[in-house]
Amino acid sequence: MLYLPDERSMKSPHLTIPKSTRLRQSEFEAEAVPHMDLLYNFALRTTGDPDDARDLLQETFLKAYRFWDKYEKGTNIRAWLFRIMKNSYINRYRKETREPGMVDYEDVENFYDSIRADSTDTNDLQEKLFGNILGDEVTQALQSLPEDFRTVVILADIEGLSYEEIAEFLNCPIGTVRSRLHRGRKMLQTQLYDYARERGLISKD
Amino acid sequence: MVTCDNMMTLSGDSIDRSLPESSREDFHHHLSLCRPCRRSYELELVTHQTIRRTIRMVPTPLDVRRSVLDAVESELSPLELLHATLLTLLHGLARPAVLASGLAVVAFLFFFPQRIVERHNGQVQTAGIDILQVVADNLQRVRKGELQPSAVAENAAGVHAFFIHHGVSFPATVTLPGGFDSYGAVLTHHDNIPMAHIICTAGDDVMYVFEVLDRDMRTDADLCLTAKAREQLQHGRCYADTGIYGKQVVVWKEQETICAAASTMEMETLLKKLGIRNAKSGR
Repeated sequence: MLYLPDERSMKSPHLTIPKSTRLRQSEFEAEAVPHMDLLYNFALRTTGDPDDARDLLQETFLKAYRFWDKYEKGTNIRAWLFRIMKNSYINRYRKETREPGMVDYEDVENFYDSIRADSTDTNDLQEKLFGNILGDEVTQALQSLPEDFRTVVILADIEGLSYEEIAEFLNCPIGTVRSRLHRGRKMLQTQLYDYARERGLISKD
Repeated sequence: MVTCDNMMTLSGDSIDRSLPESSREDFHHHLSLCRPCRRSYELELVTHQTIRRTIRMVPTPLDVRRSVLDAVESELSPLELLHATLLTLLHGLARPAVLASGLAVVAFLFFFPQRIVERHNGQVQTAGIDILQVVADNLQRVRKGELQPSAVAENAAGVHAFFIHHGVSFPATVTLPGGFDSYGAVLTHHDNIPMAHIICTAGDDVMYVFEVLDRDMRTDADLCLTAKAREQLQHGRCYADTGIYGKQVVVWKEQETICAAASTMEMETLLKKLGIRNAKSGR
């Protein structure tokens, strides 16, 4: 009954309002939103609290949307989003974060001397030392790591990122990633070994 | 040559499966000979395995995902509104014949429904809002500059997109005729019912269109149509009224949307513009 808009105007609307916003929204949904799981897991492991993870994730996506024009198309979107999340965390959460029992890296250096020398088989180690360690204990141990080391361990061991991508995320050399990962794991060993001893999984001698 | 000094690097590479093929043999050979390096490697491997065993990637919980997307979505509206306001102002400055201003009358969104109720409750002898009265009255407001669009597009599809973007769809909007210089949009809510107001200009002429979804015209809602108009719509016909403040209002139903229009144009011209033939006249 009513006239339909002519074909030309439907295809090329030249809108005063929504065209750029809709384009922006669809681009954002297509490129940024698929990486939500990666960011959520990082937020969850970094803050150690689901509510904080939700807030951090939301803040990250809001900032990413606001600054979407700053994102350089064709570059690593995951790295860009990650850096936004990392900065948000630093600005907002790190001040409030309780860092219980922060591990002193210097103490870790002597860790190997404290472990009895008789359990050298990997399977045996896994079974005796960490086989019964629970997720909560690993999470707690992870939380106690200094931030730089924790970040690399989360990205490598939980999220399964390559050294190259972690280096891009953190904007640092691959050698730094290797070093932090190695040290981070050693700190975790210390923590987990302590848990195992406290729970009587291994001898306190 | 693998030494204890570079075992840290190689151990990590081995665990993370990035040890080059060319180094593997030397690496394992060193492990078989050097007990401290072997222990260090095994502990790092066990730690890595323990982390992977106990902490797994989890999908983002649905409620978290929803809240994040909602937050981003809500971020759109003010931005869009601001963008629209600025563009509309520029548009108006560049084309004074179109709409003089594209300023978003945000306050209007809040006060509009109440003002209608105040005006009509006493005059129309009804507790509800007669849509025909609203349309006639709002055309007056448009002409006085009291009712200005929140956003302006150059065609009906743009107005439709504006409403979609604000979470409401008025399917009939896209079927509005072309040929106008501009299409302005205002979205208001009354009693939680979304109402679309579309202001079309063509030269000095103005056409105001009101749209509300038919399903929202429930019996307990404040919105109503006269019995004559309702009867015509039920029979799939349009209804033209020329007796409201001397203004001409036409009401029709399109894609489950009740539409009503008033214009500075003659009724015949308006009906022709809307593509309406054989409208039943009343009053």
